[in-house]
Amino acid sequence: MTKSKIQKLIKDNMMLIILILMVIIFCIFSPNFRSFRNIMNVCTQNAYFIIAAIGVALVMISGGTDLSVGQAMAVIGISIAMFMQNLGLPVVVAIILGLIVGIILGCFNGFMANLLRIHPMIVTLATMTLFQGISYTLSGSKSFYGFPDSYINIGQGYVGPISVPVIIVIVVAVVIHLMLEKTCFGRFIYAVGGNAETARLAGINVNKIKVMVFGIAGALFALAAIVLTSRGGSASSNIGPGVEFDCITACVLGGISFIGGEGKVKGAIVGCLILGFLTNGMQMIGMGTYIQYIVKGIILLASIGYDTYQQTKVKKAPAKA
Amino acid sequence: MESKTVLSMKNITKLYPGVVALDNVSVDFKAGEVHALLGENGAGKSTLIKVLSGAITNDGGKIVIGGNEYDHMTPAISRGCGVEVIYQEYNLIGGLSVAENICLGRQMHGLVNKKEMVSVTQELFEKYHININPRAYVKELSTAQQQLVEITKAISKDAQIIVMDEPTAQLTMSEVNNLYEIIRNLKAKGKTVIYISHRLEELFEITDRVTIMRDGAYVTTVDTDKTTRDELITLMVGRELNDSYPKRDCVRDEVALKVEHVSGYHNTDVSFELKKGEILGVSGLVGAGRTELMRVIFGADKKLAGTVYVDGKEVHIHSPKEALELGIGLIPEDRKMQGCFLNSSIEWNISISNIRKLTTGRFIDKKKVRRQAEHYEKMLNIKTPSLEQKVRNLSGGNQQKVVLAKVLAADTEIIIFDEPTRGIDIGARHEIYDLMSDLVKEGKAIIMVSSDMEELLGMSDRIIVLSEGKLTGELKKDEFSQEAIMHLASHE
Repeated sequence: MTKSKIQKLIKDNMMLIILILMVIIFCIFSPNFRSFRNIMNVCTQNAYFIIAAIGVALVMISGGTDLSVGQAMAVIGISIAMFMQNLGLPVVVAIILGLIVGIILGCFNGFMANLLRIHPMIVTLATMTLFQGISYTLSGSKSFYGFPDSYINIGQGYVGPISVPVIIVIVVAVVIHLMLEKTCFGRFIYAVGGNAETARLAGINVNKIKVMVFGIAGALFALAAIVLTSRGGSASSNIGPGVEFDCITACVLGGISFIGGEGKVKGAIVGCLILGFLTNGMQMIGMGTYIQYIVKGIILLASIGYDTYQQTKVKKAPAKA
Repeated sequence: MESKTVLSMKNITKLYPGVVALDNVSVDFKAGEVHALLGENGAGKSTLIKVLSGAITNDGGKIVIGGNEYDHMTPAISRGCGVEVIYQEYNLIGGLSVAENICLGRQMHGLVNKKEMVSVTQELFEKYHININPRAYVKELSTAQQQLVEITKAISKDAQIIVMDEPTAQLTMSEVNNLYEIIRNLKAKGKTVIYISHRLEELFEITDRVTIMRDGAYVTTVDTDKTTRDELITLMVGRELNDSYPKRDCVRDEVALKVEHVSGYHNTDVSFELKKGEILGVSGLVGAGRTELMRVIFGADKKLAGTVYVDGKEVHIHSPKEALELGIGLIPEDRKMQGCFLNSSIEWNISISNIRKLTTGRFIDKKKVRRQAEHYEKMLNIKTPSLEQKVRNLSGGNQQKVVLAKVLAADTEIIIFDEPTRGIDIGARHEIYDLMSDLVKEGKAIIMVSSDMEELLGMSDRIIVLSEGKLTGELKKDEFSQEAIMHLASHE
């Protein structure tokens, strides 16, 4: 009994164990890696990525996918920069307006998916291009610099030894975790992702849930864009795009099902950290960039392969005649 | 007539962790016979078939087929020996034509020759009197037609032993007769048909022998013409089962639901009343618009015209959510795809429709969720080791109870059961019947859509019949008869 419990614990936390093992291995091989500063740095660098991935995780749990994350982040980053510089709005107001822009972009994705009755993946494939057009039109392909210090502090500030972005990640993770696990709304997200028709017949307003999920994801993308642009001190049409596939990779690594209805916030975070530490660790032990890609690819295949293997083994086991 | 044995399964044993799925089962199958496998869900029928088809490997025993002895099968050997299994889920490719599906996997050299495929298919169809256009796309065919294609595909591979798993589950009366015709045809050509079905009357219609299994063990094999229905039931459940339907007399005068001139995409101008304490049977052929009518009333599909009254008040239902709020619940026909969340736990499923009431502050109260699930586990006698068990792992009967619990948890007074016992074994069926009776005795009202004639006649207080989307008649209890229903159902 206890043995099977331990086995289950290991199986449920496989990716976390892989992450810890990986960190330990890098610690052994690289003195530079094992400093608190480096570890904090990696977390801070990846903060925006983790926040965006949590947004994507929400969409995936509800049975969709979002490919427009990166372009949406570019639009939001540029909007905030323009609110502050072109319109001269205070930082707080610019941030609030930025969050609203994020929510609008997200809701638009969800609304279109409902209206056209097509899979969100296709919708966001289209809006990805749409948002790209908007971001270039807004920015005129210029970069924005010279943000107020209070804005820069969001990305670069520290509270004690812990960076502000990491604190934001922790707050986001706790809030979204509680929302998914403890609230009715969270249940409905799993229900819609698990089986939309059953959910509808159980009295759940599936369309509303979908739009809300995309809206919340949009707000998270806005937060990610704020962390990213404030840390880098600049915003442009190139800052943000590219993160979409990393987000999906991290979610899949973290056990969030592509089909929907399954997954946890914890999984998305672990997936992001695996990717983040892997990149950093390989740099620290002096691996070439090209080799890094190869290693990353192999590790991804191996870990996802192992996970799927475990899952199918479990599914085959119970007897049903 | 003594014919030779074409297949013997000897002392087959299959173990799963903690469960003996097959316990030393031995059966012989003869050439030119229709041999039924009968047993409740979990009796081991499907496992035995999977051993035969090589889908799973047996832990003990031998299979003698075509003069060779095998310790176990692989899908390739099984095929090579002329065994073809037609599963309940059809393995056809919707985007290909009928001919392409039938010829799929055949040895054809060089380029794909569509003409040859069509002529091969046409020839087979003529031989078995099947009327389907070989050039049609499979996705455009009805379920019954798809099944015929599947059977033809099996025959085309020169199968000697054809296994049919619940072949009539989704067929209408005339389609079933068509299927019987084909089975008789196969039999006449010396082929063996292994026939798995829950419907006892079918066995008497079509089979020569019946092998009964129970709890993974072989019980006995009987000649169909020397047995009776009652004997089969007794052998199958291992105990005397009271086959009669629960008696009750609880129809009240108050009208729970009134439907006036309702039309949807599949229905025109349907009117009926449902009283409290009443079970209203809804009959009709497949495609008559029964399920569609129920979905319109429940708000799942669009209502184009007409009025619905609940407790005498006119209501406007635009979504299942609104229907549930008015106390109308639906237990859908397709339990797995629409009734429950297969990958979620029992308590999760039961609580999903009233989760808003199971909270403390803003958060879900796990204790309340558990308490409610325990309440329904007891009330409906859901058999499970734990309420955290995934619904996927339950038997059909227990899954249906979970769906019922979910609907009851939403405080429903009017419950629509669409095919309440499809795919559920006979023991659990009667439990469902008893539960339905208990519910109407409490004053709830039930609409029961069913294709099972016996259940319809046994359970209903009144029956309405649909044909081509229209109401063609209503029968009171003293007018009940299969003939009367069929007459109305085939009404033009």
